[in-house]
Amino acid sequence: MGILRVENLTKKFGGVDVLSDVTFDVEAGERLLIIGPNGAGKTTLFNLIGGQLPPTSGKIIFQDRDITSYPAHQRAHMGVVRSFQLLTLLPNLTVQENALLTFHGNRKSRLDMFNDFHGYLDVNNKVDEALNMANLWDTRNEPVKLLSYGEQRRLEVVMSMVLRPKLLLLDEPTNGLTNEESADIVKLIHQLGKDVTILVVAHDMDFVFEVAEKINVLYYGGLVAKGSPEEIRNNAKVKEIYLGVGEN
Amino acid sequence: MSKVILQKFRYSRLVPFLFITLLLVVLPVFMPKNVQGIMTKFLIYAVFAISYDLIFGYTGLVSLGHAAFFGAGGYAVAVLSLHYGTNSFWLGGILAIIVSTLLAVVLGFISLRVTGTYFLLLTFALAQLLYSVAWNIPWFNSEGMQGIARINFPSLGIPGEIWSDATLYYFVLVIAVICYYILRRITKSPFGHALVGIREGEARMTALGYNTWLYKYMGYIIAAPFAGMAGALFAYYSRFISPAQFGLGTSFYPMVMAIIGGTGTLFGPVIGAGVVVFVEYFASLITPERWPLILGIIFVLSIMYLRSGLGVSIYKLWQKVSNSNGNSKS
Amino acid sequence: MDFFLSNLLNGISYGMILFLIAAGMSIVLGIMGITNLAHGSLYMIGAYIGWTIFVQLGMNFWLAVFAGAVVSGIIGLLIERIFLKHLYKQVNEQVLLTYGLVYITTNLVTWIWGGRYRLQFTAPELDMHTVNLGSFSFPLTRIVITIFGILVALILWYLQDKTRIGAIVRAGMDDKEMVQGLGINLELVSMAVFFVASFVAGLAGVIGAQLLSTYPGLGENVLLLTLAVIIVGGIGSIQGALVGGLLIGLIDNFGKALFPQYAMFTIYFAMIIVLLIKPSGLLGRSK
Repeated sequence: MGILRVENLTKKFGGVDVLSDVTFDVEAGERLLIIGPNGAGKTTLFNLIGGQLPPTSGKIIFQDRDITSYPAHQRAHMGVVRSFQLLTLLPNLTVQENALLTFHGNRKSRLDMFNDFHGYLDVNNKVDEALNMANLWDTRNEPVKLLSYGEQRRLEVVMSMVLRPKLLLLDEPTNGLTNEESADIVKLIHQLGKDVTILVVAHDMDFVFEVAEKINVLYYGGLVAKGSPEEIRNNAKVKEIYLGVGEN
Repeated sequence: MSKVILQKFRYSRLVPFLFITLLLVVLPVFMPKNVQGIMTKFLIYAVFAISYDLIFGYTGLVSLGHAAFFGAGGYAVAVLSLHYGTNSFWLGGILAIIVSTLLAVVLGFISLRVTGTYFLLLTFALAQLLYSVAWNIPWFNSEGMQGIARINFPSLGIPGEIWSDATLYYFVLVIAVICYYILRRITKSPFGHALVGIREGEARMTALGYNTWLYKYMGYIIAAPFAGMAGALFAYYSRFISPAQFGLGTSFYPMVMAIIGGTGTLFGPVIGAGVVVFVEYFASLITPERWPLILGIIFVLSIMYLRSGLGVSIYKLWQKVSNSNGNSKS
Repeated sequence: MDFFLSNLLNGISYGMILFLIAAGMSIVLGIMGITNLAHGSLYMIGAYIGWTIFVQLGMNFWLAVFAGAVVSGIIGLLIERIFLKHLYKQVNEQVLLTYGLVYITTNLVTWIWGGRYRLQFTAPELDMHTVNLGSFSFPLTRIVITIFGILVALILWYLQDKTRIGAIVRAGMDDKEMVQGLGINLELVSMAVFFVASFVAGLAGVIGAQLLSTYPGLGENVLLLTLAVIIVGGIGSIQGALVGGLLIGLIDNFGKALFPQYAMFTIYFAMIIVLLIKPSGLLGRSK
């Protein structure tokens, strides 16, 4: 068993099966891409793994521990870092404040009530690292909402990486970005070492094939194909889903 | 994680704080008697308001029942005076703190079961429950009246101590400064910043590893003893405690003050407290019966038009001024 | 038996008044998403207008009921148009502003009508008569109140569930742009709902004056009762307001009768218990 195992995961909303009986393993250090048409349940899958939603049934096992009932903040402490499809940076706070809060989340001192928030050198170092990597040092005192979409997206992805997660969940990281900006993100992903396992939900096929070691295909809540990029590229069922035309 | 070196505490930050404290020490000397009393009232409400700002301004919890803790503190002092014949501040103050904190542990747990409007309604209802208790249970009332009267000046157990309105003012000032300082430290800490984060985006904070419910609960509990202390001081100041100290009107005050002065800033509510207390006073001189009306109208107008509050507007103005002084136009 | 019956009827009639007040607030809050703490004050204004027309000017009681309802309806509408319209989805501001309005109305009412306490009044024909069932006599007032309540409940429920208007209101607050895009004048619907809610509150104020009496602090006290009703019954539906109202009414009456020392607290206990077990209210939708 790899670092993550998703077992018979099912999620129902009312009468609708958004995810049904999804099972797969992820090896440590793997770059796994989750693809599928709109509504296939990709973000829901991430919500279940990240802990934002509870599954209707099924299990999530991370590093040999059953984390199915663990709240999101606890999973964060285990090294599961999630970025969201819709940006969740705190818009009214500055870039620097966002970064400080992000990097303080894993620290025991986050409940400290007496010391100055800005006085933790290790946190400050991580903030500097992230802001430099994302090329946002100059705008660190701007409220995040004043940044362009691309800059915000970049900041969020970079911060996720600087957190040195064990499992990184990137939900549509290049959504709404220009080709140039997307290329930056790909570069950043390639810079990460094998100590980080990366799951990505994506639409952009070029991006997918540039990053993926393995691909899982979701369709109407079910896992219909998994394999290497080559296998998926040649998979008839996948072609049918994406191109809409079945041969034979 | 090995030992981390925290940056040295910047003493220059204390300057405006000390300046204002000095002002508050010296000012009353130059004021007529009745205005001095108003200054004491201002300080008491300032403490109440900054206590509220922690949960309202910083955390974003809209509570309509903060009077629960104010009243609890006041009644703690009052009950000690009525039934145990003591006005020792050591007993009264500490009891006020303990009672209001324990109350927050219980009320906070119940209230935080829900969010948003429900939370607001529930905090209101719980404070009303206490109002009802204070009104109905004879033990909380002096003979033949509603509430508890004839509360004396506090006593510190120092031989030969003499209390007057003036000593009470300075005593309240010392406590107010201490309370402000403690809350300041808290808001500048990681905990305080996390509260702001929760206000701005709870879902993200959870994903980052913050147990947001716990933060809200702890914030709620920490704010309470300050409100309780304000209530205790209020009892000593007005010599009288009534169920109204648990009421809607009392819960109203810190909210108005925070809004007028600027929420989430700590100094804003202090300014707001000053504005409210002094406007009340001067309005009551002009129209003894209609002043609540005027206050209400000012409040409604400031909600509609003065969003970030007086205190913040003044602060921004000061920043602009000090920036243009520092730059040379090229 | 007597004990049970009299408390039952008292509880139901009182509960009906509570329902009438709470229904408006529940719909406005639960479906339109507007927090209007001044709703209780609208009840109070209705009562005072009713008093003026009926007692001071000596006119017909039912005219007073109508007048109270209309004035409250108009004032409610004004509140929506002048203030609340601009605070779409800003809950904090809505709360604070309407709270300020409560404050202002309480003082205005004291100014205009003086601090006169506990004005109770109702139509003479209702007051004098009783209905007799065997050995037991029910005051007519309470029966009329109950019937009124049931009528209004049926009308409102019909509007809510069976008409296009109801569906529009339900859709409108979730997605304003979408509904407007369908060519529906949401502003008009909003105004209409608010008017109806305030109208019913004002009406309740006059009818209920006999039970709840009339005084400047009424606005706040009624607010508390209304909140109890919607917390227990659940926000956002006529049914919830009805169930909540009846329950609170019955609990209050039986509570006062069975445990007089704890009379004050029975309502709070009910609220707290519901909140601990099912925070969204008995008939409310769980999030």
